[in-house]
Amino acid sequence: MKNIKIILISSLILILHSCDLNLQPISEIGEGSFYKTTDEMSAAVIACYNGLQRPMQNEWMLTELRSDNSRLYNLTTTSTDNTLLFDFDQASVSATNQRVFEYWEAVYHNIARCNTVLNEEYLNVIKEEGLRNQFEGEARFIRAYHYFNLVRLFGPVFIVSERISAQEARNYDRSPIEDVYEFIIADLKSAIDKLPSVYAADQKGRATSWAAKSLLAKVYMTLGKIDSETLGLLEDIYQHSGHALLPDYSDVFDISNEVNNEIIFAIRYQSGGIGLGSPFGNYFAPQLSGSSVINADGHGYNYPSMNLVVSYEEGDARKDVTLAENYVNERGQTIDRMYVKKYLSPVLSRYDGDKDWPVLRFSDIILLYAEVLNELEGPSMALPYLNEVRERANIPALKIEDFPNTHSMRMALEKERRVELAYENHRWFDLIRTNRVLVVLNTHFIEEAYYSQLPDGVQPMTESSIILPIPQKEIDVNQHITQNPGY
Amino acid sequence: MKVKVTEKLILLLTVFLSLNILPALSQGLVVKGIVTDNANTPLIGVNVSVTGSTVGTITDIEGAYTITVPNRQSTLRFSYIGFMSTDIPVEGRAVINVIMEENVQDLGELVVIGYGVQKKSHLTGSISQFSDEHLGDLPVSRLDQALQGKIAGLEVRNTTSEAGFAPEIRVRGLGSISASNEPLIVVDGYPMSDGLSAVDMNDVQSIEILKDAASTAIYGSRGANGVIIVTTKAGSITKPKYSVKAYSGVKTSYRLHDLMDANEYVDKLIDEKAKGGVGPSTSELAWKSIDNYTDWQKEGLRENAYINNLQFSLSGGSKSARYYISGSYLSDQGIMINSDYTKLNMRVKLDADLSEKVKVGVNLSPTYSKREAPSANFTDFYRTYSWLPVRHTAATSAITGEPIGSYAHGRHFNNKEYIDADGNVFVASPWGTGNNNPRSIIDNESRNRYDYRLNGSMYLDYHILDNLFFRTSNGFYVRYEDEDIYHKKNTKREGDPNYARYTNTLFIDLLSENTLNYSHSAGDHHFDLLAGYTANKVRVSNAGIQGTNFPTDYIETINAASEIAIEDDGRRTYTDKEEELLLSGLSRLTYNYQDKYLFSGSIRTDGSSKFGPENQWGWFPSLSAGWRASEEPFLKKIDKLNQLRLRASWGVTGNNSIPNYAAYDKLQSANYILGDKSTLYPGLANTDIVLGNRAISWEQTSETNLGFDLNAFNTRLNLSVDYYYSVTKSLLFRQPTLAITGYQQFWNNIGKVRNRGIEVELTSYNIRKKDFEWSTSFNFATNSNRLLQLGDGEERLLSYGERSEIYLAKVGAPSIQYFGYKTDGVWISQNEIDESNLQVLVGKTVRPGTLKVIDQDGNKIIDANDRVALGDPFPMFTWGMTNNINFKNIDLTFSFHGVHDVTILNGDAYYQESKKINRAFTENRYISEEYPGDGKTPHLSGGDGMQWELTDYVLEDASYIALGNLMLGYQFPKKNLKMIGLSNLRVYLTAQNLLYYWYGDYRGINPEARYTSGNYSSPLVDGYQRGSFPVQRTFSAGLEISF
Repeated sequence: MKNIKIILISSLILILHSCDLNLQPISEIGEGSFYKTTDEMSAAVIACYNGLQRPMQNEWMLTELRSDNSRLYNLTTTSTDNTLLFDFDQASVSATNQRVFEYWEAVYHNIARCNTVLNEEYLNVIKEEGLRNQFEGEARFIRAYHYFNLVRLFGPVFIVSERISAQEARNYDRSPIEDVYEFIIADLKSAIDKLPSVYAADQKGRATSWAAKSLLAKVYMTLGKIDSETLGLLEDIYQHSGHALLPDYSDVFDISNEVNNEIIFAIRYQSGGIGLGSPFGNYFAPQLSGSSVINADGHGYNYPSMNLVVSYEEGDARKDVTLAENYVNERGQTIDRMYVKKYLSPVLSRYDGDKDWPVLRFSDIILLYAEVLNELEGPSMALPYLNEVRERANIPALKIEDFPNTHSMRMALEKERRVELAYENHRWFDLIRTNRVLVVLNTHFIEEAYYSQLPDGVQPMTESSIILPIPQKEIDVNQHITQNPGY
Repeated sequence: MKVKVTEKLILLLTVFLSLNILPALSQGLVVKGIVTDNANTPLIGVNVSVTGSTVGTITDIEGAYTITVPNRQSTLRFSYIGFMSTDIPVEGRAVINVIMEENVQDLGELVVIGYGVQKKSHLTGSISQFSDEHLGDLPVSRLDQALQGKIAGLEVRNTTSEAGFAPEIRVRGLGSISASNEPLIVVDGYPMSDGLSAVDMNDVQSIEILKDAASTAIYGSRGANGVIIVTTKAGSITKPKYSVKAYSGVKTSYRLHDLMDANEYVDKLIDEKAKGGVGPSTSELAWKSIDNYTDWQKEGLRENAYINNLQFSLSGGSKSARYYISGSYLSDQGIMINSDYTKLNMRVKLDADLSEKVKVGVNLSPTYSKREAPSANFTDFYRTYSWLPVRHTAATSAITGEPIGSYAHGRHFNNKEYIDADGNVFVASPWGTGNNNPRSIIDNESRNRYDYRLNGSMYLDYHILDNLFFRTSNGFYVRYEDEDIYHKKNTKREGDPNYARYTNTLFIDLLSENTLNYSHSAGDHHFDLLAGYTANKVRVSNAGIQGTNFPTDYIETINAASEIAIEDDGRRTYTDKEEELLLSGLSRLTYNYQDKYLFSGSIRTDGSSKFGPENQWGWFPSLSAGWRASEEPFLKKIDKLNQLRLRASWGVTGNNSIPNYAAYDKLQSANYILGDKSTLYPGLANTDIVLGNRAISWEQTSETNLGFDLNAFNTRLNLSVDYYYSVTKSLLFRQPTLAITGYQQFWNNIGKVRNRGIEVELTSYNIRKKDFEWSTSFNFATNSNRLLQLGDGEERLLSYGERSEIYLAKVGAPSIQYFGYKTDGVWISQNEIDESNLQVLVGKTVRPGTLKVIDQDGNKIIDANDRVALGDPFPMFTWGMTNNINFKNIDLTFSFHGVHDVTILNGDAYYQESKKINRAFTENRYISEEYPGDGKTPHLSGGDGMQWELTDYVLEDASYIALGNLMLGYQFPKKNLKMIGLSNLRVYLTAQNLLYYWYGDYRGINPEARYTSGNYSSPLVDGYQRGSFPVQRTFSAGLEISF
């Protein structure tokens, strides 16, 4: 009997002593115990790049699909995807549209990652000044990039410049557009100072000071700041960045030639089942194409508009790289269905493509440079740069006689930007920057045959629908948030 | 165990009594005999006495007695706990064998409560007890399914008819909005999350449902959703008893969707066109020219599904050791193809008395189960048109050019030439989806899950004093789940790559419970005291491997994959581990005065690792009182009243069912590639959508329960009525946060929910004769749920389902309400639309035949402000009724149950295909102004008008009444059996869901079905149905043999 007692008592003591209620996560790290070394900060910065991918899932809907570049290919299936996309295509997006919320949330999520890196205390664990500056610059660049997209899409947005809790978020209000731009410019100026101009080959893809300058130039252009400062910035990039056009347009998007000299900044994707694959090959390939275009079928998203297809001049080398007008199915039949080809690369598994998504490309800069020159010094100064882009595309150079005035050059540049940068999510932003979106789209709704075939037709776009609604979910949480007019 | 202790006490007592009276016996007639129960088992320790005298004895281990009676006219009285006393005149006989009838309504009955037992007559909380000797005869594969409709306040809903899947169980409504609402399951004292699937029904002795907070507070932080205690059978002091049970059953579908075939539908369209309707499109005309009819619903279902069960048990024991050993095999087919469930169970229960003071026992229960699940939903079957064959026929091959006998898919028929009735050739695309036909999807993807469970525990009782004993009970529960999925090339669509997925979970639960029990009586005062502490540690390891791109589909294991994917289309290769620790201290004092005034108080403290470091400990007190009014002299006089007890209780319980580590923001990998060689660089970030909260803590429910129990008319009538009122506060709430934080939700303790209701349980022994017994049990429950508070002054929370349909949680209303547009039939004419002068800002163009949305605010504008609450998914009341009839050797049981005034949202209305071919959506539909149908059914919307799912048009009343179970048995006469060496032989037939009746406007085929995954796993999103499999009706025949 005594033995039993001893066993019992000792078992009690054993159990009581082996118990500590403060169990920490085993398979993850608690945030509180991280960001203590340079390596840990490096992982935090890498996470900011990683976070660039998620907003891209929806960004084409908010830009290309709303513009005149693409439309919905409406099959008779009743998928939720189609109903949500329908609204973008007709530029009448409701505040409850889930895709808008997803984009908004993904962007703010990555802003939170950037804000983590920009935490003073964390940054200071990096002893080496160069690296500390670089990390700070990278986070500022990415944050500015996100805010730039947000302000253009949603107008006045919330400026969140540090990690905030759920409770703190309730005290935030939307800031006027000017303040948002001020914030973006400050971030970019700081990034220009802090970022290196070039990286070692194995670090390529990180943001450089040239990327920051390019983005700043775009910010200025969007603000209508057509002046010597913007001109100087673009000229600097054009002459000193070391970036240049590749001789062949198709090489720019070749998966064996990523982060090439023409790419100033891109969002990178990598296939191989590592969770970093690009979904756009499958997204944009024709629906019901089986594996004839890409393995595991396509969704037929971002369906090219006829209007864009005919904008390509005869012999334009860019057309075949950008889109296809048909495909051959597994039985050798040619199916007349168009699709965006720019992001197509062979995949083994669905959504696991390889192609990077260019954000800032040298041809974009050249054409912006030409735009400023046209405004400040007239079409003749702009023409050589326009032709530089055209000649690379194997289409004839334009002559000065074609441009009687500044306006004609503006239109030529707009068109050139459209075909050169098609499906890189620039078209919408260009149209709102030049304040031409209503004219262009309402004409498009009439002229593009697809819209007149819709049973309900399409309503003309109004001024208020240029800016997207603040997602209803945000207003559901905090009813003091003001919605954009018209929603 | 406790039952045995009491029995022995009585036995000792009677021995003692008989010793006292022995000297009185001197002369007279000697009578001998054997006392058995009606199963012919000898009864040991039966009190045999001579009426009107002090002469008495007890039966021995063989059930035998010898007694000397004063004279031939004496009468013998046989009494035994649990049995009805009988008086038998001696009439000069020397041998009197007696079969005693069990007393089903024994007032000395014990009820299992948390960490102990209590006399049923002395209960102060609300506990329902359920035991049924034929429980194992029901042809269902899980214990919880057998409980449906049996207990007031326990709602069991078979949300899917798939074999082996857990039903949804709710005790007294919905108390939590982000944490789980599943009750705690305790099997033989061991809390087991999946206890009801692990226990074999034949092993069940009794089930207790602890409903009020006072009863569950002893389980502290896990008690808020109620506790279900399962007690398994144990051996008793008998010779070895062998029992074999077997049954076989066949299942069929109760009802299928009423679908039109392709020709019929096109004819309908042609007819509609003549009446001013839209008429068929070219693609629909093509349907008619495809010469094929396939009943797709039947392709997804088995004509007959079978269930087979075999169980064996062995029990017995001597004074020092008792044993119960059982094994069972079950194979259960679901009604749909590729749905199979196989289970092997074993249980070994040993109890031994090492000495007067020390008692030990072990309870071991290994189980193995395999579950195969279909890889396609039933939706995909009933939305497939009848013109599509499973495999190409000569006719469809001629159209499509696909080889005969190969799988036919909708896309094969696109852009093909068809010939109409007039012989004209036209090109059409009759179907737009790229997906393969559902039958081929099911055939080409296999999903098998294997579960291995081992529950082992042992206890040691040490009787320190007569009235003080210590028990330590230690055990483990190990569960290993292993799942294989193989997805062949081109399974879902052309070009779909093959992959294999292997996942496993190792769940290890260690439990130590140590309690001290003390009881003391002094005069009219009786005390029972319990104190103890427990420690429970859980460790879970998960792993998944994703292998892709197999060169061939012949080898389905991952060694043949050409790539192991870290992430592939959202499926990852990973391992992760979690730990949880729960430390508790508990105590309870039960006191009664004169067995009349009853009091009980308990307190438990729990420390859980799930919560923030500052808030890990919580206290859970309870108090309850009862008054056995019938013991008062003024009521005792009333003959008809056997017992009347009034009860009142109050307690606080908790809920900790949230994921581990919710207090922390966790970092997961967020890598990126850099460099011209695309090198992977490691990154880490909190990739979750939920922010941690260091202050996170318990959810607390305080509940008050008032009730009474009445037993009257010579124990013929038994009535229990309970009223409860519970408020859950500091709700564990995954509260939406502004996404500008970078996250969508965060864990918080905020909000309040109230549940209140009435429960009635009534049992009546209508006839109680020797050869004819008939009893009826009836239960009834109502529950009303209100959200009292939500967030920081927020009034409402909207949650969305898969079709953007909205579930509203609004303060002052039920926690879930459907939210959308109220409609008033359909627009009959353009004139009517124009005259209404409404400006419609939501939905697509309004046309005649589309739903007429009511302008709630009367501002002539239809917009989001016109959305209103449209109903809730909570039933107004539920009931169940069971009748037991025994007539000679025949027994008959039948149980009804019903769920009433329950509204569901029919997601099938979303599909164009359902709208086209399902008569529930097409009959009497609007065609034209002249033929408006019933004025309520909209025309087939090709995208005009208001989306159906956002309106009350898809809300349906899914109330139902089911004859859930019917059993007819025949017991062979004992006398005849004895000759062939059997002690019992019974054969029986059962029918499940013989009748299943729904009377509302429900358009589906299974009122109980609910979607529970994805968006619908949130407790605030409920009531949605889509793709449900049919209700199944089962017939079975079985056999029980004991020897």
